[in-house]
Amino acid sequence: MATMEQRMLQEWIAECKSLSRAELSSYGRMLKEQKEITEAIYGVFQQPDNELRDSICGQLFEFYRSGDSECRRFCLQYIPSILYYYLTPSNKNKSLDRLEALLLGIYNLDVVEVDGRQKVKTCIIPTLAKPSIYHEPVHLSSVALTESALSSHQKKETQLIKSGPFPQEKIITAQNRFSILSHVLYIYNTGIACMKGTSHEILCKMCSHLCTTGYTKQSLTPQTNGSLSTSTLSDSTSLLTNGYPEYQPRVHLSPEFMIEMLTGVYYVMFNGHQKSGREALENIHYVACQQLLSEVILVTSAIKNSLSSNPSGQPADGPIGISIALTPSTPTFTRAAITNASFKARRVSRASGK
Amino acid sequence: MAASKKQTQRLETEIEKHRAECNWQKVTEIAKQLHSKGSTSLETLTHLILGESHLETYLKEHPLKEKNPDIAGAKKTLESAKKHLQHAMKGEAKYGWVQEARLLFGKLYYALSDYEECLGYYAKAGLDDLTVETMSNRKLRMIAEAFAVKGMALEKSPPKTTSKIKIAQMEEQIISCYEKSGDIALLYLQECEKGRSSSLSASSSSSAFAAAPSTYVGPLLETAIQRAPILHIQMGDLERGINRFRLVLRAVESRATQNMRMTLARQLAEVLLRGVCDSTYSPPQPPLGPDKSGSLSRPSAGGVIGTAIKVAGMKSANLALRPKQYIGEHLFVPKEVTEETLLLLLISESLATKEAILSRSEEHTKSRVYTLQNACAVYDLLTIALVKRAQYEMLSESFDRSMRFSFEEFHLWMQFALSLICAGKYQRALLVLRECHRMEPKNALVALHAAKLCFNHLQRMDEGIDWAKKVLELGDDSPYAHKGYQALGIGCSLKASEAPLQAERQELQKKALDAFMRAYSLDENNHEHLFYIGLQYALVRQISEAIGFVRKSLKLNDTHLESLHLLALLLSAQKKYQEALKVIEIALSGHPSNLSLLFTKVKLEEFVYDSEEALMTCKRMLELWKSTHESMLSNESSRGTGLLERVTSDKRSLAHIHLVEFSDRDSAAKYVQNPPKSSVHNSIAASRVEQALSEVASSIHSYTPRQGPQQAWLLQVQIWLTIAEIYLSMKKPDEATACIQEASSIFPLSHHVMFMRGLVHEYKHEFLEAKKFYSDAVSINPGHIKSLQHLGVILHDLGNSVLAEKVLRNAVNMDPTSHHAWNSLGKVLECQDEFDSASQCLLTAVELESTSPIIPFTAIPRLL
Repeated sequence: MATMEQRMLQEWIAECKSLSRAELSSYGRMLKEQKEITEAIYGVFQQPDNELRDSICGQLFEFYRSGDSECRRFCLQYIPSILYYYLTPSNKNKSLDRLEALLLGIYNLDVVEVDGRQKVKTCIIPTLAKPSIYHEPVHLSSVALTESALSSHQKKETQLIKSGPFPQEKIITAQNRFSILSHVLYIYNTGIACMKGTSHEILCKMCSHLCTTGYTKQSLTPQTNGSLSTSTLSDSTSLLTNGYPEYQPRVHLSPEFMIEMLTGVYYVMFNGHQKSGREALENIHYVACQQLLSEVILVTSAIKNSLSSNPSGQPADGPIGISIALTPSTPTFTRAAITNASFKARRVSRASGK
Repeated sequence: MAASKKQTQRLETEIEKHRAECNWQKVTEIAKQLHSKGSTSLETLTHLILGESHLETYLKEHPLKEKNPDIAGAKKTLESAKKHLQHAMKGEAKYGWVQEARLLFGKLYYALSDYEECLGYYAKAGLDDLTVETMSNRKLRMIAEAFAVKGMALEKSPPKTTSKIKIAQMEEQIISCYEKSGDIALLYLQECEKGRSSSLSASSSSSAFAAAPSTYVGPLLETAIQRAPILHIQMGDLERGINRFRLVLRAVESRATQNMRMTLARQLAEVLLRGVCDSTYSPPQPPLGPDKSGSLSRPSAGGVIGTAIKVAGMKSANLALRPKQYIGEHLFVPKEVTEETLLLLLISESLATKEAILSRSEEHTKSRVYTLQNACAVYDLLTIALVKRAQYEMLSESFDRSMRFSFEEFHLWMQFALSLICAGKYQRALLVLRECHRMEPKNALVALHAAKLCFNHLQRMDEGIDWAKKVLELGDDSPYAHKGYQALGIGCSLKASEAPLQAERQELQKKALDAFMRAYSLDENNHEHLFYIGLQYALVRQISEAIGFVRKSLKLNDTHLESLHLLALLLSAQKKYQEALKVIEIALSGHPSNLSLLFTKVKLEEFVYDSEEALMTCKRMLELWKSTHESMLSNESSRGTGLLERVTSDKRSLAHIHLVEFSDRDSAAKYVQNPPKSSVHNSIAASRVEQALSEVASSIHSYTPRQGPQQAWLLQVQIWLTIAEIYLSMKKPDEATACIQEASSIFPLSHHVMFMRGLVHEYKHEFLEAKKFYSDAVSINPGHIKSLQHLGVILHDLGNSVLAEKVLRNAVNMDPTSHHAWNSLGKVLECQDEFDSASQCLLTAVELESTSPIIPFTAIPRLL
C-alpha cells in the first residue's frame, strides 16, 4: 500500500518537474482536485523517514515560488505538517536541509516586494476621536481622560502599526529560527480561511504536540486555575512519550511563535475543530504558564474566559459561534443604577450646580 | 360639535403619542375613557387600541420566543385582545385600521404558536406590498415587528417540499423578512430620536436629555436585526452576513440602539476574528457623497452592498424605508481586517464601559453582572486582536479604563497586570499584581509573575524572595512548585552577589543552590534548573561540578545560549582556553549577533591568539552594533518620541533586538547592570548615580545626552572600552586614548570610562592622574573592584601604604573572589613586613586564580 502511494508520488513529482513555469501556474487549479496526492503528501510528513520528503519539499517550493495563488495555497496547507516534523525533537538529527530551505524560501519571498524592496506593512490604529463609517465621535467620547487620549487628540497623523522591514536570512540559526518560523506561520494564518479541514486539524495537532512533548503526565494533570474538562494530553503525545517522558526533550518555543499558533487555533476552533482546538489551547496555556510568558497568557486566558463565561458565543453555537444576545427585557433596568457614564454626568452636573 | 371634533383629534394625537412610546398603560386608560363615553366615531379605534394594549402588555411579560410553553394560558389571556381586534376589523376600513388590526392578529397568532394563521393574516394585510406614505412612528414599528414575526413564523413552519431550491428560496425569504424588519426598525428608532430631540430643543439642559426615556427596542426587533446576518452566516454566506452587519452598523445611531450597537459591533468583530483571514477579507465600501441618493446615501451599485439592495425588494418605493447612514467625505473607512476589528472593538468597548454599572447594591447585582460580562467579552476580544499586533500600550490603557467597574474581578485585574508587564510598566504591574494576590492568595501564577518583575526589572530582591516563598507555601504538589524554587534560588543568588558580609553571602549561596536542586528534583526535564545549578556552582568556584550540570543542561537543550556561555567561562576557569573558544564559536554559530558572547570571545582570543585577532572581533562587534541600532536611532532623532513604542510595535524586530543585545529572554536592564567587563559589585546604584551626574553635566556643560535607549549606547561604550584595553595591552596608549575619547563622548561620567582613563595614565606612569581617575570611578561606583584594586596599587606606589591596605581590604571584602585584589593586598602587606598575612593573601590569590574565569560568572544574567 505504502509503496503504491510512493510510486504515485514519484510519478507526480516527475510530472511536476516536466512542467514549464508557465504551465505550472495553470496547474494550480488542477492541484485542488488531486485529493489522493494531497493526502499522500500529508502522509509523507507523518512518517519519520520517507525518501521522497526532500523532493516533495523542493516541489512545494517550486509551487510557492510560481506566485500563482492556488499553487501557493497548495504549498501553504502543509505548513503545519512541516513545522510538526521540523520541530519534533526526535527528528533533529535527520537531514532537514531541504525542509529548512523550503521554510527559509517562503520567508525570504514574503519579506520583499516583487521588485526586491523590503516589505513594510502598515495598518492604521483607528481612533474614536475621528468619525468613521460606524460612529460619530460626539456619541462616543471616551470616559477616561488619559495621557494617551490627550496625545492622540494632538496627533495629526494617524497612528500606524508597522510590521517590517524584516531582514533577508541566509541560514536558519538558533537565534533567528523562531522569528522565521513565526513569520511562516503568520503567512499560513493570513490564508487560513482558504485551507482545508485536514490542514486545520494538523495545525491543532502540531500545537498540542509541540506543547506537550517533554512534559510529564503528572505535571500536566493538576491545574490550579481553570478546569480542564477536555483531556489535556493529546493521543499523539502519549504515544510518542511512550512511558519514557523524561527522555523526550522539550520544544522551546518563542512567545511570538506561540501567539501565531494561537491565532490559527482560535480560527480553527470556530470552524469545525472545536475539540482539538480547545485541546491545543489548553496545552499552549499550560506551557505559557510554566514559562511565565505574559503575552501568551494574556491571549490564552482571554480566549479561555470568553469560552467559559460570557456573552460571546461558543464554538458549538454554529458557525463562528455567534448567537443572538438580547438586551435584558426590562427597558428601565439601568435607570436607577449608577453607570460609568451617569457617574460622570452626575459629577459634572453637581459641579456645575455649585 | 366642532369642539368635540377638536377634542377627538387631540385625543387621537395623544393616543398616537403614547402608542409610539409603547406606553400601554396610558393607552389603556384613554381607551377605557373613550369606551365608557361610548363615542361611536372612535369605536373602531378604541377596540383596536384596547386589543393592541392587551396584546402588547401580554407580550411584554411573555416575549415571543421559540415556542410558547403555555399556549392554553396565552389563549385565555389573549381572549379579550382577540375580541377587541375582531371588533376593530368589523369597523369601517378607513385610516387603515383594518390593516393594523391584521398585523396585530399576526402577532397574536404567533404568540399562540399558530404560525399558519399568523402568516395568513400577514398575507391578507399585504405586508409585502405596503406602499410607502408618511407613516406614524407606531405604524413603522408595527410593520417592522410584523416583518420580524413573519420571519420567525416562516422559520417555524415546516418546509413543505424537499426540493433544495425551494428550501433555499424559503431561507432567502426569511432573511429578507428580517432584513426589512431591521431596516424599518432602525428607521423607526431614528425617527423617534428626531421627534424627541426636536421636542427637547426647547428645554436644552443636558440633564433633561439624560432623563428623557429612550425608546424601547424590544426583543422582537433586536432579534430581527441580529438574526439576519447570523442566518446568512449559517447558510454559509459569510460575505453577505458581514455586509448585513456593516449595513446595520453604518446606520446613524440613536440612543435606543446603543446597547444593540455594542452587541452588533462585538459580533462583527467576532466574525472578523474567527471567520476571516487577510486573504478572504474585503473591506467595506466607502460611503458615497450625499449628492448621489439624498439622505439615503445608498451606493447605487457595487458588489458589496449590492445584496442589500436586492433584498430591499424591487419596488423603489420601499427604498424610503431605510435608515439613514453616516455620510461624509472624511469618514474613516477601514481597509484591513485588523483596522475594522479594532474600530469595532473600540466602539463596543466605549459603549460597554459607559453602560457598566458601578452600584454594588444587592438590587443591581444582576444587571451589574450583565454589563460587566458584556464589557469583559469586549476586553477579551480586544486582547486577542491587540496582542496579535503587539499593541500592549493600547491594551493596558483599555484595561485601565475598565478598572472602575472591575472591583473584585480577578480576570480583568490579572489581564490588566499582564498587559502592563507587556507594555513595560513594571512598577504599576507589581501594584496590580499585589491586588490580584489579595483576591486570590492561592494563585501561584500571580506570585510568580510578581517575583519575576522584582528580579528581572525592579531589583527588589527581598520582595521577590517573599513572593517566591508564597508560591512554596502552596506545597510541592503545585504544578508551579519547581518554578517557585527556581525563583527563590535566583533571588538568593542575586542577593548574595550584593550582600556585604561574608557569612551572609555564604548562607545565601547555599540557600540558592538548595533551591535550584529542589526545583530540579521536581521538574527533571527542565534545562533551566540544571543550568542554574551549574551557574550556582560556578559562582562558588566549584568548577568541575558546575561543568557536569551545564553539560546536562545542554543535553536537554543544545541551543541554550546561557548554558553555552557558562560552559565556555567554566572551561576558561580551568584554563582550557582553546576549548572555551571552541564552545564560544559553536554558540556564535547559533547566535551570530550576540554581543555578550562576542565580548567573551574577544577576551579569549587575546589569550589564545593575539591582540590583532581580538581587534578584528571588536570591529565585527562595532559593525553589528551599527547594523542593529543605527537605523533605529536615526529614526529616533528624526521623529523625536516614543521610540520604544515603535520598537515594541514590531514584535519581531523586538525579539531580534533582545537576542542581539541582551542575550536573554526579556531583560533590557540586566545587561547594563552586569556588563561582561565589570565585576560583581557593579550595582544599580552606580548606574543611577551616573545617570544623575550626566543630567547635572548636561545642564552645566554643552554635553547633550545621546538620544535613544541608553542600553544601546552603553553597549557601544562597552565595545570602545574593550578596544581601548586591547590597545593598551598592545602598548599603544594613544590609540587607547582615542577609543576612550569616543566612549566618553557618549557617557562622560561612566565609571568604566574613568577606570580606563586611569589605566592609561597608570601605563604612562602618571600616577597622580591615575589616582585621580580611579578615585573618581570609585566615588561613582564604590563597588567597582577593579578601580579599588588599581587605586590600592597606585596608592602603594605613591607611598601611602596604609590607605592602600585599607582600600584593598575593602576590595577583597566586597568581592572575595577577585584574585587580583588579593594579590595586590598581599604585596602591600609584604612591603609593610607583615609576612604572615601577606603570604596568606598571596596563597588565596593563587588558589582563586586557578578557578578564575576569563570574565566573571556574573556576566551571565540570572533571570526568572
